[in-house]
Amino acid sequence: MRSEPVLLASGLVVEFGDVRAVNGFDLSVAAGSSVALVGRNGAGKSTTMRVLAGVLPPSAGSVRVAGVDALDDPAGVRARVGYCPDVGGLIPRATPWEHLALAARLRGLPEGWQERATELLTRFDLEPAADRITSGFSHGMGRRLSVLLAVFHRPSLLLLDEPFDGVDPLGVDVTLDIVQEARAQGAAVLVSSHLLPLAVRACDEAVVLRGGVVVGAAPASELTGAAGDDRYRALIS
Amino acid sequence: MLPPASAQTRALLGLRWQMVRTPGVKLAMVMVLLLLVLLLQAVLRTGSTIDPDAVTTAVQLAPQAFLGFAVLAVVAPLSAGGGTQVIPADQLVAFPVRSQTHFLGGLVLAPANLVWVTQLLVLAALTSYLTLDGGTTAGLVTAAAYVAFITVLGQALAWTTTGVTATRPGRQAALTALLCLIAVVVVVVRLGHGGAVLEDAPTRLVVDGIAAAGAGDWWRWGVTTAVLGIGATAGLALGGRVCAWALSRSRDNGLRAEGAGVRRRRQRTTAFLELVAVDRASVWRAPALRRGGLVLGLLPGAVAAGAKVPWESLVVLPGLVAAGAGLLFGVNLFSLDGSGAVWLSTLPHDPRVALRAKLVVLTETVLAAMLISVVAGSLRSPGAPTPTEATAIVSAALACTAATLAGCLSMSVRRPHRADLRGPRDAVAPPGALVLASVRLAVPAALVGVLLEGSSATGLVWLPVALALPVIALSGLSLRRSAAVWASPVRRARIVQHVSAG
Repeated sequence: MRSEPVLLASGLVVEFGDVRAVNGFDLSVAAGSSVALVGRNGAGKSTTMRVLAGVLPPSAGSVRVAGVDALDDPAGVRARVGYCPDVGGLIPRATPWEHLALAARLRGLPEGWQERATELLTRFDLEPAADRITSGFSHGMGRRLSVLLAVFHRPSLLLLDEPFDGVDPLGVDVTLDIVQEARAQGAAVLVSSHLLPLAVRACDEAVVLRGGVVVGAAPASELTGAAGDDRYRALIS
Repeated sequence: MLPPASAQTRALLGLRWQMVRTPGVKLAMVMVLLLLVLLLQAVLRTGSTIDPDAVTTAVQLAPQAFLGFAVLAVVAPLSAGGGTQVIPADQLVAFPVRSQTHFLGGLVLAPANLVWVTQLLVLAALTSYLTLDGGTTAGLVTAAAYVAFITVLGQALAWTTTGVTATRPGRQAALTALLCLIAVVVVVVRLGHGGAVLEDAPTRLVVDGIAAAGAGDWWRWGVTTAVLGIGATAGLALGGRVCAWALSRSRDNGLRAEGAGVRRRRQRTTAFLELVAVDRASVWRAPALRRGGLVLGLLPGAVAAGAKVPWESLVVLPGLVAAGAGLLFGVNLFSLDGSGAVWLSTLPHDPRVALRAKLVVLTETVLAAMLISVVAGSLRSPGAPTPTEATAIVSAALACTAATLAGCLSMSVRRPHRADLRGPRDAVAPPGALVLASVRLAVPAALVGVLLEGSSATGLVWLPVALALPVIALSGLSLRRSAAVWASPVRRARIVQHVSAG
């Protein structure tokens, strides 16, 4: 018997007044796999990610994460999701360590979270900045910390929205490693990015969003190189 | 060639007006302006309707009232780091805005302050009393010249302070100057010369100039008005330069605070206490909120102590301080999380706990500011308070705290704004929203204060409590309604979207 995918989104609709930002989005992501969500600016990628993360309630449709319905048990879904928002996502006058302590407390992580936190801070090269307030961070540092906070509790579903934006090559490598590790531990990963080469490096499959609807999907390997670029351009235009 | 500062200021004000999202808010702002005009006309007529003895007393106190306005004209822009910003500086980095535009913008928005407006009405009333026999229009011209002169001067002084305090030696020098000033004031007051100093305040010359219009001494009136007008014009030119200098200074404290790090604290035992600790840090690590909190904690109490306010009148103080504390950050509570509000909303927790944490931080700020002010104000109050006066002060403190919390939460859930609060001049909401918020908070607080002040003179110990209880109950109901808005996922998502935008 096939088990239920970690992420199962069906018929998602998000309306802002008269504007329909997401228009019947369907997607399933199995445990241990990763999917890239790509598309032009304004395609509805970040709005979709916000809905999947539980930040924004959908106007219609349903989201299930690891068998838990987001409408019935929103807190249960949040406990299983790790989300890196597309911009910011950090409390400006709190330090990375304070973010981690707050996440540990709200997620009910057992004692010993400090070791995991220190290990991740070191890997993301944020250890020296662990006690600095985040409003002084560069954009890339902020992105790295957002990814770190998303993976901190080893979520079942990892949602990374523009995780490579403004991040230096070493930071990109760490993020790619983190994605692979999460998959190896059985997590489903959804990466939204406008940087196609990096998105396809992180994922096995890519789905293309246009006007809030999935308009195409392809194995990530088919979207690499010049031919992949041409195919991608054809899909989004 | 860049357009002149006046044109840039007009453009920025126009943009700010367009950025007001809802027509209702625009209408409310116009209504406040109309109300001000009506109030101005009304106070100008009071001279002929009130008791002549009261007019005489008011005229005797006129130099002090004009001096009070001068103090406000300095303190208000000082507490705003140089003056109110038309548009936050971080949103203007891509535009070639002149330094003089910042100065002019701050001047134009100086009246966007309830205390400034109240004092203006007092000056207008006093001017009409000083010119009861005629020449009111001429007197008002002099008063207007004084207001312009002192506002420009206050703003220039505030920018000078901002520039000086950009570096550590400058901050030390400013602190030394402030301590010396306080020491001089304390010594003068303790030696019993406070009244004489106020009597001989330089503002007496302005008052005499206004009175000269009433007496037909046009030479004296002309000289006074001309000097004030020339001073205002010169101050405008000088202020622009001072502002340019202050803005060109590299601030070492902001960089140090962001770069040096903070002491790692122990993890709190519960999620609620952890949220309280993060919110508390978000308030005190914001330079603008820290400075505003200090001004709020020290100034009202110092003024009350200096004025030797009787116990009965101290009843009004908690309400005014509570409203000021609410304006510090309470009217836009969720902006403390900034873009982190998005991340917080993905953590598995009861949103009501996060709301309670913010209310706790606001409550402790309001109560601390109140306590400092009342204790400082009471140091020189004559005698001991009667049981009714003591009850009235405590009742006023509780009722005004409840009313302020209710007003703040209501505005926070219904009119959220993005607020960076990174720089020393950043405010928790746009200028127009702050004006409406100050009216929304100060009017009920003042009414409660006046009501309880009246009750304190009756000798009925139970009366202040009886008057405060309905206020507390109504505030409780309002808090419940606002909490229900926050509990709604759709409304909460909207709040998060607003405070994290950008």
